[in-house]
Amino acid sequence: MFVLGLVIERLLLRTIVGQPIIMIVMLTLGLDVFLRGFGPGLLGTEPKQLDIGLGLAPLILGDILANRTYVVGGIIALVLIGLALLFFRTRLGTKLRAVSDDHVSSWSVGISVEHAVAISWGLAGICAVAAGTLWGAAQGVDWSLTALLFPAVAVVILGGIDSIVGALLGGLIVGILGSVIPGYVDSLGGGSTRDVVTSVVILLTILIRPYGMFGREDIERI
Amino acid sequence: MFYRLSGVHHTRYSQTRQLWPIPADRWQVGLLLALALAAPLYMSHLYLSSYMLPWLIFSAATLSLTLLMGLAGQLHFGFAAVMAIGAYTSIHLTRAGVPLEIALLGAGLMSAVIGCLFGAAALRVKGLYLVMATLAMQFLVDWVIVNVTAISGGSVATLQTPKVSFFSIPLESLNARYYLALAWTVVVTLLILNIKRTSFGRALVAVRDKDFAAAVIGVNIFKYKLLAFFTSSFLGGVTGAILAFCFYKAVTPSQFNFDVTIQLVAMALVGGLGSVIGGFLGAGFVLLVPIILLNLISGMVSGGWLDISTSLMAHIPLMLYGAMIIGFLLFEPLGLAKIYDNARKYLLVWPFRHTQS
Repeated sequence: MFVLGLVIERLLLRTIVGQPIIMIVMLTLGLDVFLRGFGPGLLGTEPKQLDIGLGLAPLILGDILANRTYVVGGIIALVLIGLALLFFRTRLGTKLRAVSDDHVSSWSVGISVEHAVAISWGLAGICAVAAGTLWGAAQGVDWSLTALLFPAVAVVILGGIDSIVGALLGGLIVGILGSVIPGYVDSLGGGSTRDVVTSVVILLTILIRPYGMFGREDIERI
Repeated sequence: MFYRLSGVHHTRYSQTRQLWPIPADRWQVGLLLALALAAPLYMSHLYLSSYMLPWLIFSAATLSLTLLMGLAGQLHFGFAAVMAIGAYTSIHLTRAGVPLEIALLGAGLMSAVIGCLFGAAALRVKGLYLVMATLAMQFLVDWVIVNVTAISGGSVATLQTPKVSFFSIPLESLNARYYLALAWTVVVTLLILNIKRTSFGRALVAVRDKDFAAAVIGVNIFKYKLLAFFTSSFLGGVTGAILAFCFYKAVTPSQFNFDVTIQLVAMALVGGLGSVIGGFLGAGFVLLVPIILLNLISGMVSGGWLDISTSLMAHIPLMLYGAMIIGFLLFEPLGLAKIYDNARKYLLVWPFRHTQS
């Protein structure tokens, strides 16, 4: 997946560097549409079991019965977040942060912006694969996994687009709200309130604190 | 050759400022209009109802969107929701006994007011954040429509359009519906063409290019962004109503979901942002090319030239559609309108290419 991220960056994103944001948004959406046809077209549409060898027996921690997949998923997520925090302190991480600040000034101090963007795509690919595998192990794999896009973006916007702590807290908040509120409201309406909760979170964030909980106050990123 | 400029001498300012200053362009527009008017005479029922009609209506929708995205530079990823509001408003109004002409206006106003509410977010944020705010609008409106049974009648319900007439012409026959859609498309086209050369249009372009700079030269950014949202949502709402009454003859929530939004944005982009001819070309391309290519491939499969499984076959349109969006963004970011413009400029001076500026 690291390689796939690199390839996507090299073939598609590199050619539209400097174009307006709508181009990048639409390009990635076009990619989404293409893969949504490509994947099921080759592999079939029926949901698949993803067995990552954890077993179905619950884990007993004192009084709590925990689903093994969730526990392992949580641990892996924490490890990834820790690694990300550490990574941003390395030389390469500092370069990435510089590039996200300003392309032109990074170029002028000798950072290869193309290189940095490619690496960020590759790393994002790795993290997405980890998240997708864990989610698939817990819920089964079919093409509705692409619906994860919307909550993921809500998390990033709520937390602040350049903050890892924000992503952590935002993920917790969006995840809990998205699971708890539908429990109360779904019985009243017709269901599928999860997207609505996510939408409201996005709208409120943008109206009240456009730069998110922990983001810096310059919101014209990307 | 076809566009010879020789002999075209404008002697009054009004002549140079008309919509199509070159006579050949006027002839072309007139010919296309005549072809569109005569379409029921030479087109079969199938082609008229399943290709021509959706193409016209989606062109009108793309033009309304391009007013917002191309001229005013405000990204909108909830346009299908705007159209859904228009469609549902018009259906409920006509069911309550309001004549269609007024119901269409009501649909436009409803869409415009709700669109402006969400567009108010545009006054705080730009770019990616605006995309997310309008995307949230799409999901919220979808959810409200599906879950409030007074609006949709339930998540899988279909509301049939009642029998209506437009200025005492009953909208039963295909021809009547076709001409209503054509008339609306012509109205939208003329409106957008003319907006481009009014002070309103120029203010929108100034806001698009750099909003700070626009503010410095005295353009009220707040007012014009909101006006852009209002106008575009109004047109989108009426187009949604026309889509419901002329094409689907019924509404269900799934006709206006997020995929339709992506489709509309793809039409505007593939056609060329901010261009009127691009609206028509983009809508036609996105609607028709996947169908044509699919027919081609299925013909090859049944002829034994290719061996593809049925599940792959079913997903080929989606793949083609995605590949098309990517391809256009990479190789011709200015869209089909730019390709058309290149050809036109070439023919304008053919065969004296050295005179081309």
